[in-house]
Amino acid sequence: MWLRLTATIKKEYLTLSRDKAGLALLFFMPLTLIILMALIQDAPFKDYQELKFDIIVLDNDQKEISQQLVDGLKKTKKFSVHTTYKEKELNEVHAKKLVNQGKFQFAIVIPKGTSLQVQNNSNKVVAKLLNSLGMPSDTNAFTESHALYIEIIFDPTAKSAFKIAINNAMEKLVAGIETEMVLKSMSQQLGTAENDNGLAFDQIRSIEVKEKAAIDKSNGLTMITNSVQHNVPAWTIFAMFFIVIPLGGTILKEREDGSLMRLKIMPGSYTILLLGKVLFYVGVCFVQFILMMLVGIFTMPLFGLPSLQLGHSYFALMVIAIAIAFAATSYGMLIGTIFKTPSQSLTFGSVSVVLLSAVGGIWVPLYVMPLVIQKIGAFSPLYWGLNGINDLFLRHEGLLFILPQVLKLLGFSALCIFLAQWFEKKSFQ
Amino acid sequence: MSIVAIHGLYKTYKDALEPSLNGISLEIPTSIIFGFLGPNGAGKTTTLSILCGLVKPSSGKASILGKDIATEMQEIKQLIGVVPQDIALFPSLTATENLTYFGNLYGLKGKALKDKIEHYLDIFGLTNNAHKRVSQYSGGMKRRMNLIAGILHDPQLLILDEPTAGVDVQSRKMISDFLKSYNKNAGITILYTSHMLDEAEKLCDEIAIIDHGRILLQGTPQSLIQQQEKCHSLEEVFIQITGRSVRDN
Repeated sequence: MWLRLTATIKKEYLTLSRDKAGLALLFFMPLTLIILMALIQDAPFKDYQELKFDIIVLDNDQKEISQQLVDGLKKTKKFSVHTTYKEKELNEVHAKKLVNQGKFQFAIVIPKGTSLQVQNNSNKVVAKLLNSLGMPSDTNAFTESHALYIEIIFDPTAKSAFKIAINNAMEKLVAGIETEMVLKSMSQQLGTAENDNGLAFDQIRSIEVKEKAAIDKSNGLTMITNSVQHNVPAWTIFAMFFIVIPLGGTILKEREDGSLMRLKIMPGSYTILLLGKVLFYVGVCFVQFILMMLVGIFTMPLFGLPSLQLGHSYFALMVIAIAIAFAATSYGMLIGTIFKTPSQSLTFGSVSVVLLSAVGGIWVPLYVMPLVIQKIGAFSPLYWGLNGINDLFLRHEGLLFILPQVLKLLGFSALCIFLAQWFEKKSFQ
Repeated sequence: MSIVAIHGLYKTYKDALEPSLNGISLEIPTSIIFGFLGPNGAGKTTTLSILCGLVKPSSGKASILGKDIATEMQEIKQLIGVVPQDIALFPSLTATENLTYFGNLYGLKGKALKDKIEHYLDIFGLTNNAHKRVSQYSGGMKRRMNLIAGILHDPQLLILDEPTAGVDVQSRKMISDFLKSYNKNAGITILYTSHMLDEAEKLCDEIAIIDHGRILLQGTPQSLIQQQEKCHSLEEVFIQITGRSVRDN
């Protein structure tokens, strides 16, 4: 049995080592893929806090409160506020055009009368409040107001999540200014303004929202959320599953050139020969994995990206990598066995890997997908692999935690090998 | 004693309108060269595929060296050598690498295997090309390599499906001369199919002609020629028995 197994592994090595195109597909392409994907997906992955957007602000009011809004936008440091373009004052038509051309992410138009509107409204609120307390108020001077809108003009390509975030930020800014205005007005009515210049919005906030990591930092672990940490494992798994193309092609080639038939007329279990092929390609996948991790650690920083952090359990990482390799290789064996022509195998193999990766959360996280896709995605071996690696890299868990994912991957592999053997047997009957 | 015994073998492939084998029975004596002849689609390759364990019969029995093909195929595979109709080699491997791999699968290794490979490469004139990839071989060289891969483990029964198809006269002569001496010197039984009827007439001790899944005639080449009126060669016997219509499969 060992002789048959080692002979098959050696044969696979010799065959692959002479296939230059196959080698390029197995090693060069995946490495290029993860570098490119990490670079491409770096910007969208960054938190909005990390990014600074070029925006246009048109202050048509030019009063105290509108100036406070502009200052508030500048203070957040998320925005680089522009009121001119190429040394020319901007108007709304020009601003729309520039945003539409993608030169600015969005434009904020503060309408004329904003300050007066806010002042009026705060006076009205304070008057109502004091009247309800039976106190006289000096705020009857307010005029009837009509609705005014601060308009945000977005780039047509802007994502909904981005729009929601900007809208929320603006709402928060306006609400803060309005509250401050109400407090100031009230202070004036109560005659306390001279003493303490009124209450500031920040002074009345007693609870603030703060982000906290779910992992325990006491043992020196930190939560790492960057594009490299997410993209490198995801695209590594994707690339590993692309072994179905060369592997499926090899099996079909062997069937076409008759060598597969010779193997079947030889004594001994055909399963051993299949196993030899699987083991060799598992080794290839594992080497791919190591190379891609090394690229994540050493090459990504050369492109200005952070270095990949491998978590604390290298053994568990090896186990999940081997389990992914088994799943990918066995799937390739199945594809090569079921289909009878290279074009069928190539088309189905590549499309199915892309689909499995899409529903498996390689492209975008599974939790943002529709419920039905989430349910389907939970059966994707790429999802199990990605989950396992994320557990190690981001949650800093160990082997025991990722064991269910490892078992699912190995179970998938066993099922594929069984089916491949069954189809092969059936095809010769 | 019969090395191959076939009794009432039937085979109908899935979706086929007619059976490929229609109850053939055949006994092949030990240490002879047995020619299994028939037009395209007669049932030759199906019979050989059943004997090799590649195809399961629909019904009937067959045994090789007293071992039942239904239950003892693994033992049978060790005892037979098969040279398929198509070239069954790994094109990207050299001759030596191909033969080493096949030898390993038969359990051969080390110096014994190396010597054997060198011996056969020498016999078939391939020593100078031993380290050349098979994909770079000519058709005749591939045919000779295909034959070596089938005999490397010293089988007791050698099954050849059209071993000289598409090769030049020199390679064909080399192969048929080898088969003759291999049978005579080593006492190996050879079961052979071919469309080269003159070659079969000279080479075979006994012949069976099969058509439409049935054995039509069996005997020595001379006895078959004598039995048929106005026939002076095996080819004439073949045409008389199987007809002149062209077979497409």
